[in-house]
Amino acid sequence: MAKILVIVLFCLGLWGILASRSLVRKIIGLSLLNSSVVVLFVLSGRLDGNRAPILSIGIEGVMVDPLPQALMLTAIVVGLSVTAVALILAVKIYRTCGSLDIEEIEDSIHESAH
Amino acid sequence: MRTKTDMLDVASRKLAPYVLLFGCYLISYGHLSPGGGFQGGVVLASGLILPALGCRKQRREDLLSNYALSLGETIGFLLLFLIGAAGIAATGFFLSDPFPATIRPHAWFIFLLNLAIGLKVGAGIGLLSLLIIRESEENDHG
Amino acid sequence: MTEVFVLALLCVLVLTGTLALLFRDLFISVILLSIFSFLSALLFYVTHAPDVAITEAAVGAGMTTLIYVWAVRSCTGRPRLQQGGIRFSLINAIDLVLVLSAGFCLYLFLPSMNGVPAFMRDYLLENGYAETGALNLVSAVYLGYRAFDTFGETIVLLCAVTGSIYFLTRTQE
Repeated sequence: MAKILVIVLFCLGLWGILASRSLVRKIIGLSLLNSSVVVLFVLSGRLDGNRAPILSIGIEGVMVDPLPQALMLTAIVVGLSVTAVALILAVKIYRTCGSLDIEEIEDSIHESAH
Repeated sequence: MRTKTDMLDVASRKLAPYVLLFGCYLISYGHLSPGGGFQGGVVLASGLILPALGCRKQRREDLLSNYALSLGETIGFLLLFLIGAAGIAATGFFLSDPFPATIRPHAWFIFLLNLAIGLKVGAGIGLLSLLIIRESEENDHG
Repeated sequence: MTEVFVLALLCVLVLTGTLALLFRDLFISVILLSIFSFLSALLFYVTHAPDVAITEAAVGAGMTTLIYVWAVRSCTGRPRLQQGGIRFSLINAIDLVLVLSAGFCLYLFLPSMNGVPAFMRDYLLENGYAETGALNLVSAVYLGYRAFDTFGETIVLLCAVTGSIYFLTRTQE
């Protein structure tokens, strides 16, 4: 059941990138895609555990897997880098072409090429 | 923002050191409790953004300069590289533990890595956000 | 009980993501994305991943929202309606078919989230502290065993900040 919901989240992000006309909405879809993969890894990593992966004295319980969490720390920061550069490029495109709409940007590129 | 009141200015400047303190706590206790270089670095950057958003323009220019943050980021990255090179000098592998094996288990290596990463990430993300805030202020008035 | 809460949180995440893509006003979409990040940070806390929760809350709900709000504000002046709606046409039907087939393939071939082997967790429980000196096993992994990946990540962040400086402060066209 959780697997189906994570796949729905992934497909939402993919659909947002493909079917949106505005550049910023495409980047929102990219962020959703990134978050869905992080959720998938962290949910797969809780094997049968019920406590956080920190060694301490006197706390009972089985630990969850620390490896997917370490990988996802890197993934979140790289997602931030991609989103930041993509949004700055989108604002530059808006300042040059006057619109965020993909079709209008393509038209203005064709016009300036001729 | 068109109107920045005195209260906003003073409140954001007085609350920022507590956020910076929390960021330093997250960085230095990263090997013992949830936290670490990245988490503490981003909270440090938040502590730099809070006065940048609340202060008036002149005081922001006095408090936070692009050059200092850029220098902080470069120093953090070079520190990380030097720690890795020390690993090569000690055992022949990049980013391995350079401390002698007699004091194992010890957390000095992870602690130093956390400090370097926290400095780098905090200064880098703070610089990015500060550039964005400054650019939006320019385009508001220009 | 926790499993029900995790499933409920996932449903609310799906709902928030859908709404973020459907609203015509970009500003509302950006705030919904920030709510999405907060809810996923809560999900990470409930599933015993505090490091990931802190990172997602600080990065997703803090920095990303700042950059999105700046982008939306500089593109329209004041938050106004964008022509970002989804229209019905042949291209959109093809997109929908593509996305549904991708989802179907994922459902068939994505490994189950329940049968993950646990030998890594057992090894780190035994030797994590002795080999790296850290009590926080997540730090032991990404700063002790796999520190090179962390070094690469700082290089990615450095490149992103350099690229942003270049694009933001260039004045000559």
